[in-house]
Amino acid sequence: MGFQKHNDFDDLAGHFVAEAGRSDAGHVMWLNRNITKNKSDRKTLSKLLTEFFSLGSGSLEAWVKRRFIEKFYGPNPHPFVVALQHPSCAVLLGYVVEHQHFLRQWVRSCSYIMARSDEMDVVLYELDNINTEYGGVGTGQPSHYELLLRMGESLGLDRKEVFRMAPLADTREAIRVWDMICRDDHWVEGMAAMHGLELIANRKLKGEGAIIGYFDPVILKNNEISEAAKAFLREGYEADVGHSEEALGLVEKYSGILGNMDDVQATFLRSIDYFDRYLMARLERSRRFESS
Amino acid sequence: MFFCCDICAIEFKNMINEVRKRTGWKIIDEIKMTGNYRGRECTALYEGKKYGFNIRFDSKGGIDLFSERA
Repeated sequence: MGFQKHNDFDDLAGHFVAEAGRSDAGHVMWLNRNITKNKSDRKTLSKLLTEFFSLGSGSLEAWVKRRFIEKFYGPNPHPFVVALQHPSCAVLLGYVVEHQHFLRQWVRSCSYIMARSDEMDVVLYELDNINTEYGGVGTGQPSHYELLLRMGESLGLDRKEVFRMAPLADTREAIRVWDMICRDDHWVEGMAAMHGLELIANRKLKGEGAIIGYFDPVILKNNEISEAAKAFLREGYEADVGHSEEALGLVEKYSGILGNMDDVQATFLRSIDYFDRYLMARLERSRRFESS
Repeated sequence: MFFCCDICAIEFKNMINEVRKRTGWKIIDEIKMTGNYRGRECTALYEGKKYGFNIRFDSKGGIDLFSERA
């Protein structure tokens, strides 16, 4: 879903009414899940869409967080997050197998953003993010990718075996969409699409309306999970507040300068739809470990 | 019956057919459903009998996931 005409919610409503009238699944589902399950006329829908996209008195960052919390940390939190509160070995293994593909795409996505922006603060941000997630800094600070593989090994899954496992369909499709967004859409949209996802591990969201965190932090201290699993989850716990919030600050700054905030909002929403499915893929993978 | 769109009607038909195939029931009196698009927990009822299952649909209304519950 993208805006046909910038900030024209009446036009957008007309588009949705027309597509819903044709029973287009994508449009009907989006309305049902984000706006209303009731059949609405153009005028009503225009008002609802205006409200949905309005920043109100807040910032774009606040709007992004609000929509993210609604989707993943609202009254019906995402089933993967529920499973991760006190995860079984199968849940962690599902995480390892699908997330390796996500992280390999992550580098490509961040690289696209870096290549397509002339802004030094953006380039430096993406360089640092790539290093943290994928490169690591010497042996003292392994990357999230390395920590992920070590988590798998601590649970009995050799990394050679991990590399042999192709992504599930929803992971593959999500990766394809993220690749396309970062390659073809504006780089500011790419930043929102990718770094908005790091909100999933932002522990401050609990204080901003999220009903639970990414996991119960007690598992970092007790013996429920392996030390390698703790090391992996701890990294995100510590890094992703800064990662997500710095990026959203840059997105806000440049979408304001460039005047493409509505496109940024639309692309962010699209990205988190695919993230939703990708998290379900992690759970689907974990079910396969359970039944094997 | 009224549905918000064709996809919901397709989902309904697919679900009913799957339940009938697995239970052998010719008729289903009622289906209770909770959950959302990420997965629904259902109980089909027929003449006092119950059949519990979880179901998820794909974007075309096909069944993406189906598992029986005790």
